Amino acid sequence: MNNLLPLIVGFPFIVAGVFPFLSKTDDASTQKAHHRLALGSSLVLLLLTGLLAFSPEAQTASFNLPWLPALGINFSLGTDGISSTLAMLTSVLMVLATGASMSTIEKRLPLYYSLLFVLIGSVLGVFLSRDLFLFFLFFELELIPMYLLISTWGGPRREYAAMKFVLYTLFGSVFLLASIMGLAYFSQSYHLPTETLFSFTQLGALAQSGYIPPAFQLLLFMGFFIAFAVKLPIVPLHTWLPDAHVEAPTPISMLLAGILLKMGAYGLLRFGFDWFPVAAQALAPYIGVLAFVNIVYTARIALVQKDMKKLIAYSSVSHMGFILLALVAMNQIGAMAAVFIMVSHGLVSAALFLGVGTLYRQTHSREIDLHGGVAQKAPFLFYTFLLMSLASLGLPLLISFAGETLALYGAFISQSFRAIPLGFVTLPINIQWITGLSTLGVVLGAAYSLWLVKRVFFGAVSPACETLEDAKTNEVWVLSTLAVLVLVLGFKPQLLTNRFESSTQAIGKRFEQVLVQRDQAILQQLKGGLSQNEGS
Amino acid sequence: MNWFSDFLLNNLWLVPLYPLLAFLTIVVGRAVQVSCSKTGEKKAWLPQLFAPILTMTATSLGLVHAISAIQWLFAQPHEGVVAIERNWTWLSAGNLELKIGTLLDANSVLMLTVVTFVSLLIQYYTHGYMRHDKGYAKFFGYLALFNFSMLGLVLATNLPQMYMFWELVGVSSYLLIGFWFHKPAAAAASIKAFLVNRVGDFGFLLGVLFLLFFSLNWWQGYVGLHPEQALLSFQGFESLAGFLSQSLPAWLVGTIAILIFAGPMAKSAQFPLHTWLPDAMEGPTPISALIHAATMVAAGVYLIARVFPIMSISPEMAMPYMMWTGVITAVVGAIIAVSQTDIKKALAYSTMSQLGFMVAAMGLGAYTAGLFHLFTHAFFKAMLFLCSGSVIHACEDEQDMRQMGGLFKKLPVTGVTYLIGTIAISGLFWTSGFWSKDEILATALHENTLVYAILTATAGLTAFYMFRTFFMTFLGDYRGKAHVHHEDAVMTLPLQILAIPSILIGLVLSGFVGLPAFGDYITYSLQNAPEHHPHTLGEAMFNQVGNISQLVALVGVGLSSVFYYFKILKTDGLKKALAPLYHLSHNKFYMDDIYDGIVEGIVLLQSQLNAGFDKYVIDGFVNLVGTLTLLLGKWVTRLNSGRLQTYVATIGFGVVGVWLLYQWMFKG
Repeated sequence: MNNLLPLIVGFPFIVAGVFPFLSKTDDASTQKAHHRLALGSSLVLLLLTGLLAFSPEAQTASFNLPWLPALGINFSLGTDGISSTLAMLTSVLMVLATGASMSTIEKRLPLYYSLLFVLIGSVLGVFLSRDLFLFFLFFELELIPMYLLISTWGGPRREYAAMKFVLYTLFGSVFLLASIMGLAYFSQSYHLPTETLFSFTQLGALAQSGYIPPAFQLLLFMGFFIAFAVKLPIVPLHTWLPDAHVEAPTPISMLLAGILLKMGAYGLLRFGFDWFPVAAQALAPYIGVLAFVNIVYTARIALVQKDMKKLIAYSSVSHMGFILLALVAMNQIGAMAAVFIMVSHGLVSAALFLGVGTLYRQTHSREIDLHGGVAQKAPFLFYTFLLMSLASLGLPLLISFAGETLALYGAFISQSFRAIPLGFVTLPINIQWITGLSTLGVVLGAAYSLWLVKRVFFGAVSPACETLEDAKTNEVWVLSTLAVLVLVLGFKPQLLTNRFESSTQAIGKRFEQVLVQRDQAILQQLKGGLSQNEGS
Repeated sequence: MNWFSDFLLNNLWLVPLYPLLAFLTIVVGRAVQVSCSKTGEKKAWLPQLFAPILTMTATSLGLVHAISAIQWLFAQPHEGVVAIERNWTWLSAGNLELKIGTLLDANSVLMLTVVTFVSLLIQYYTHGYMRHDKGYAKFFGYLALFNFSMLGLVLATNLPQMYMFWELVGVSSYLLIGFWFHKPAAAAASIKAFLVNRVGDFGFLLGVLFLLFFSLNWWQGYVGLHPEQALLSFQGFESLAGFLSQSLPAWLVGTIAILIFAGPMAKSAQFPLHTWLPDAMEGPTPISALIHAATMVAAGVYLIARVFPIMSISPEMAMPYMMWTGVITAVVGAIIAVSQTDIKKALAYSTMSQLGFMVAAMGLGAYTAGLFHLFTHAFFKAMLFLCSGSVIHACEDEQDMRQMGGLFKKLPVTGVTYLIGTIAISGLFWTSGFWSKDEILATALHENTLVYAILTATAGLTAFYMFRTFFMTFLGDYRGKAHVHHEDAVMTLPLQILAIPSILIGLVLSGFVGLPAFGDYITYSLQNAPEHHPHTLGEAMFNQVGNISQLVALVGVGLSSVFYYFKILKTDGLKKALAPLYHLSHNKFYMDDIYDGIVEGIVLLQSQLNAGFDKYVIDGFVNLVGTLTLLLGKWVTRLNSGRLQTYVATIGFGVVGVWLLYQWMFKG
């Protein structure tokens, strides 16, 4: 099973290497062959990931190959519940994105699929790396295919959007690199083994040990935080996302919302919060406020968008706010909720983007006002889009509900902060307040989702939609698959939580320990103060 | 047969499962049919036949369970019902374990009976009403979905499960209101219903979170519960209430109770969250009868009954709040109903008013009276709506009562049953409405005379506006243009069946015919039943209340006939005399305008401002940084000019600068 790991990460790159040698003619039969090859390859990838994720070793598998021993860099891969779940999500969405490409991408297919497989390979690398340097490489590598995919197959403002996406991420990467180097510096200064300088276990243990001076913990945490805040994204570092989504072709939007944002969430959980819980706890009040802003502010913006894709893009940011809220809760339930939402939002947003893509393919417009009465013309599309909108607004027994409920509940019982210190004044706002206010996002979520459905699908058929047809066969398959997943996992969320429960539990316990230690320290201080008073 | 009833009682989880399976089968069947019909529409009759059969079979099976549950309840000892509870884990995370299960006690038997019985009749009726609609099969699918959600709600063992199914009935209601989504009014009404309910559920969810937050540790250490019982299980609510009243300050308990009450406020159309209910009449009439009169809107009252222990430990805050909300709703609903000309809208406001009675009863502590009214109201209001459907169907989709009149001759069965329903809701002649309403009034007299006076006056107003609809629709001369068809036998049969409980169920369960009273059945399952049962107030008082209320109702009927039947007095005069009240009523207390103002002027405006901030300030800053970087790049390029003098000067200034900095930092 351990050898599956390099195969899973390597296989997409092999496929990517094959595509450029295929025929570049643009006739229908060649295109069909390309699409089929891509679909077949992604199904093989799904099979490989499935073998790993459903094997008993899904929690523990690891693979190690010395790469640059002099620098302490290893080609080290491994899984735990979280990594294998996200790898599974990636492979599932890759199959579906390939399925969606069949009706949307028509030019330069070999190049397109080659880039798509590089993208997926690097995302899988990000989720499965167990060496921080390798992680960084994959994290950066993903930018190149993404830039090219948006700027080649995108909409009218594709170059601006692609450039913005890359520059934004690179801005974050600077902080990421700085933090990685900082960690390596401390690792060396404590004379830890240099041949595994960047290994997760070693760096993680060091970071969690508390031997790094608190001020530096804070700095290192902030480095990771900013880097992943761009990816998640967190307001005010989010403005690349609506542009990128609007310009990206449909399958790329599906992947962008479905898995690329999750790299940010994954990084925040694994490096930010899990490695520097003390720093995270110190900054929790401010992160909590950011989570609230993410949820409510972007939900409000989504409410007044005129462009369907922008609306869904902003709703993505809003949902990512729930992940941030779950993380800032710093307990077992929060950690579990964060991973759950990564999966649920991945599936739901992919379906929503495909739904919009199906309309855009025919009407060549994303303007909400130009659409109307689509339900009469395209019933299948209507029902799946409605189902996904209901899932998105957190309807019980559909997938998102469990995640959002856990996030809200986890944050509500959390002790992570009790006030917001602002230097000169301390606001008496605890995490319970933040959570209560964030619950407003649930109302707003229902408002923008259903309002979109109403304006696009209900009412009389608009002129632009007169000749509209229902989803094509490939889209029907993709949407049906997503619908089944959303229903089944919503009905029985434990099918999903069982995959990663032990991993999030371990993280959550570390969080809770830090909070307990903090409270004990406060108690000690209080007692000290009391005895001093008694002494004098 | 013993094993059979044991099987039925021990496998209540099947009850919501039947309609769910029916729903899924219909959905899949429709999808298959649609994909087949692309080649030619040959099998169109298949779902037309199977959808109603599947849905009605599912409901009938539920009814079988319900009947055996009634037998079970009657066989229980009066000292205390031993509820049957079963749970399955739905989700566990950390110390949180959410369960889904089925709870069989007096409350759920009551609702189970109402829901399955009324559902079945309405589904049969639907066959007549929707036969020619394009979405006939789909409609039955939605009905099955609604039954699944509603039965899951009724059988819920714990508050989180209740919340889940609560949302699901909301979405079924959304789908059914928007059934004719090509009509803009229906589309708008459906989203409005869902969003108003979401606002209520926002409070409900917060209430549940608060409750969990304060009771989780206690709950996990609570030994009174069976280990299989779920978190926030309804069976433990009395002990929970005891714990909360000791450990939390009164204002906090009251806040939690009021937050939870926000859910019922929206779902049971309590003022000011009632505005969705009249608009919901855009849905097909069977839906108005089933969801927006008999079952779903009553779910709010059912929830209050379930969490009643929590409410009752806040006698200073939650109970009066509930009581006044109910009273205001009853009054406002009745006043608005008077000026409505659309027959369904009039009935909708009447529903709102009656729900106000129920909630007010809850707030008065008359827990059983509220449920009793829910029970009787479900029958006669469902019947009234179905009658209105029959009328609308016969008048070619005309809903305006000004275009009706004299329909009694053409639609005799509908007319008679409508009259029975009108008498029942007015509380006249010992029909079912009389008993349940007077239990509420009797408690009100005992608790709060002002409330009693208001509610009695509202009962008179109820008789007035209900007889107004009867006179306008069925008596006098026909004023419309549409050709009136004969009534459909498929549609009148449910009316006739519903007429029986509308007349008799109140008397049967009144406690005066030998059987135990309704309230006794309910209180069996409570360990510390609230002691506000009318019988404890004395029969003399009860009779007195009954006589007064009948008298008031008769006055209402009399006045109504003066204006709308004999037409001795013109309504124009009344409108002028009561101009302010009339305008208030006609404009529905301006609530819709106020909400529109809030949404347009505050929510959307603020959101526009947010969007503008995002676009121009945040993204503007990002683009500015980009532009500045480009400009800086150009400027730096210019420095790279190749002129030796510039380089030397730069180096010189640099050296001097560094030296100065060094001096300043380390010597100064």
